[in-house]
Amino acid sequence: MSISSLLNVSKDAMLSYQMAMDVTGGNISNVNTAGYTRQRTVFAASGNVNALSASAQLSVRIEKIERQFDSHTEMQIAEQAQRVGAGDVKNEMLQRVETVFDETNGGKLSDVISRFWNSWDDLANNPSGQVERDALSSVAQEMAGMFNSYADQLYSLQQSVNDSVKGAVADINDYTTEIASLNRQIGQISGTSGEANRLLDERTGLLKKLCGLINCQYIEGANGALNVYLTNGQSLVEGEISHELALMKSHDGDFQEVAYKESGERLNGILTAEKGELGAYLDIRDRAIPEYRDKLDDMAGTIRQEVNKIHRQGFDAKGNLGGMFFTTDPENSTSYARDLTLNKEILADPGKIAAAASVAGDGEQAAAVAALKDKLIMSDGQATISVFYASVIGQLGRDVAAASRDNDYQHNVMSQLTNQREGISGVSIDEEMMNLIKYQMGYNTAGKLCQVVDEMMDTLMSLVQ
Amino acid sequence: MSIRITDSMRYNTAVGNMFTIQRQYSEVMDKLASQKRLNRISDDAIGSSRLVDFRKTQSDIAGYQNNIDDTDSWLAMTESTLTSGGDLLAKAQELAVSQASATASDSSRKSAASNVQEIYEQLLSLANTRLGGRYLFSGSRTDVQPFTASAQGARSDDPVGAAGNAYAGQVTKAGTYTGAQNKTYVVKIVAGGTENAATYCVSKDGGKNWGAESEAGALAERVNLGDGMTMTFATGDFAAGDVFIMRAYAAGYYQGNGEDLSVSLGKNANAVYNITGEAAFTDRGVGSVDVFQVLADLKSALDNNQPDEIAAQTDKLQAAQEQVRVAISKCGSVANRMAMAKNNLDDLDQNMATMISAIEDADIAELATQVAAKQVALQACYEVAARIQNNTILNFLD
Repeated sequence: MSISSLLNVSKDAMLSYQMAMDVTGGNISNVNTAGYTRQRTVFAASGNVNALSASAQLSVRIEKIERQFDSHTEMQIAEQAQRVGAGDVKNEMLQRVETVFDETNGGKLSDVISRFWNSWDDLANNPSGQVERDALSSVAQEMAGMFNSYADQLYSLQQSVNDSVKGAVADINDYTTEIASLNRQIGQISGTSGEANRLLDERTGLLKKLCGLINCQYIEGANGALNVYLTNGQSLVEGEISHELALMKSHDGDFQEVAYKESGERLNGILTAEKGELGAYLDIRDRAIPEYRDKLDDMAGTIRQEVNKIHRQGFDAKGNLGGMFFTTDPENSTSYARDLTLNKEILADPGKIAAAASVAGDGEQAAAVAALKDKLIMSDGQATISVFYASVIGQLGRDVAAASRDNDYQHNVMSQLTNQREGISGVSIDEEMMNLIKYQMGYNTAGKLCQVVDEMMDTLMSLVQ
Repeated sequence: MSIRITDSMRYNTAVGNMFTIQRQYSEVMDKLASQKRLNRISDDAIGSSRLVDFRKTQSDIAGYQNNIDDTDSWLAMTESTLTSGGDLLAKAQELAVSQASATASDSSRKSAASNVQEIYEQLLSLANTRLGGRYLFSGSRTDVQPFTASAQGARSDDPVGAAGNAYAGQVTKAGTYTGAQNKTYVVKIVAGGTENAATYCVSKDGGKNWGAESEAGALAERVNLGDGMTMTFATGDFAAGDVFIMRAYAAGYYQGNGEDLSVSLGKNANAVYNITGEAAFTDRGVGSVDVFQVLADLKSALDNNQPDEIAAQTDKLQAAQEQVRVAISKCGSVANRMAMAKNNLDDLDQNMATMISAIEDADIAELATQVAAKQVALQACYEVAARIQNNTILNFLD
């Protein structure tokens, strides 16, 4: 072996350590980069020694730059991201429903309903009183208005959830397109280069975002491509190709449904409420909020029906039979809560309130209406209006509390998983500093080797002179 | 805990803990500021639901108390009016007793007659007392003066259609009223159409209870109301819900009705609070004495100087006082019932307030302790966060 080849060994070592310092520098500079996976330089000895021929060609080379990660943890995180995404949506949306029904300080629906019944009692005590009639008319309007406003607020909540559905579908399509394009780039670049590591990090980040939005599964296929599937097997990303989701007009409602664009197949059954924001949005929009609206409709409809039934058997101040007390606007609407109104004729002339059971102008009919407050007219004769409403409030409170507890739990699991991932893939400055010292030492020693070889050359040259 | 503790782990953990404690701290502060442990429905779902029910009960109680207050003055007025009426009757009886005796003369009876006339007029005005525009003694027809100044024969008003009727034709009555009580007949059109197609039903108690629906075409003939009365309709178009009213009065002074006025004092608990003029002053009352008739008879007996007739009225006046006393005691017992109900309601209201407070009010002492504890935790958290990167290998490198 020649002396000059020793210079090559020194050069290999210096270049390798420089590279290692570069990687360490990259790690240090990315200590705060979200989703960054720390990289490690893997050295390998090269050449061999042949003692018999007195020749040795030992050196060092960099085998690869390794991405430190655990695919199982990454998978768990992606899965958990689905639960966290769904939990966040459910928690936030139910809290917004809760503010609509906020009863803790009084003065809301249950209060105005109570005042409505009491106004009938007041009228019963003084059936000819104009003041009592006016008061009843205005409380009835207030109550109908409160029902309208509750239903409107719930409806506009549904609309804003519908907007979120649109946003989520747009985001999902963006992410799948980007993942497909990253698949292509990663395929083009050799798997061991630093550049591919960055792309892999980026793709993992996108996958997590995608999982937060939609219930999906993924596998890493041949040539490192990431394939993403819906739970029914339809693919969102397949190698370099992405498949879009589309919004379709729903058959009955005002809102959009989500469908697989190419087949037009609707995905309502696949997007579960527990996984992914999209599924949670759909569940809130199409199940949770309508449930509360139905309950309000049930109450408003029952009040309308029962009050009208009694009212129409009574006589008004002029001795006419009572007409409708409550109507809906439009007339044949079944969205009673949204469309409940006081009959326009009564609004114009409270004398048309039929408070009397006979033409004598007594107040018995008004008293009969007031007595509805304790009648079991809800839930097929099982509950009073008030008990029914109390159970709605109770159910809402339990739903919100459960969603919030569940969300806390999912976040805790997520932060444990994130810590686990950080333990494997995160950058530790202390560790990187130690590496820096180690590599600097190696670099310095390699430099020293070069110096020694130089001196050896000098010695050799001086022999020739 | 993994083996490698990386920098972001340290930061994330510190920040996460800080948020958790800050949230707990602000929850406690919220409760302390509002003095309520229930600030959102989800803070206590069962409590919130019970709160709705309790508040409703409280509001019901307020309504019942209001009902009692509304009837308070009515009852007091009724009682004092009846008491004065009783006194007047006692005075009349005194006069009758003294003038029935042989010592009374024609002239003393004449002057007594004018006294009785005064008593008669005073009693009439008492029986026609109004409270806030409503007559105390006319049953449920509180807008009608209950007693006429002189006795009337059995009679009936002309039938009238209600103001909102579609039918514009003529309605006439026929017959003489033979009923013993004042009644209000109501004819209601059930199915509309011409008189040959429309059907109707009849109520004899002002519209509370209805008879069977007629055959179609029955309107073309006389409508038989009962008690000797009929109603006849001219040709025309009827609409369902058209109402025709005819009032009939039995002979005498009374023109109110015998219906009760009642208020609700609780779930399924109603209290009748009026005394009808019929019960207190007419022969349909417990003493079967037509009070005004007795006074009128007494006056005419005095005018005509008929000692036997005068003596005959004495007993009737005794019965009349008895009749009024029964009404007064009925009034008193209603007032007692009201007072008792009011006491019960006050107690119940108190209980409700306590129960509501137990659900929604915060325990301030407990909260204050919690605030202190959370403050300590928060400070510790900040301390740790500030020291998080104090020790690294960097400190030891030159």
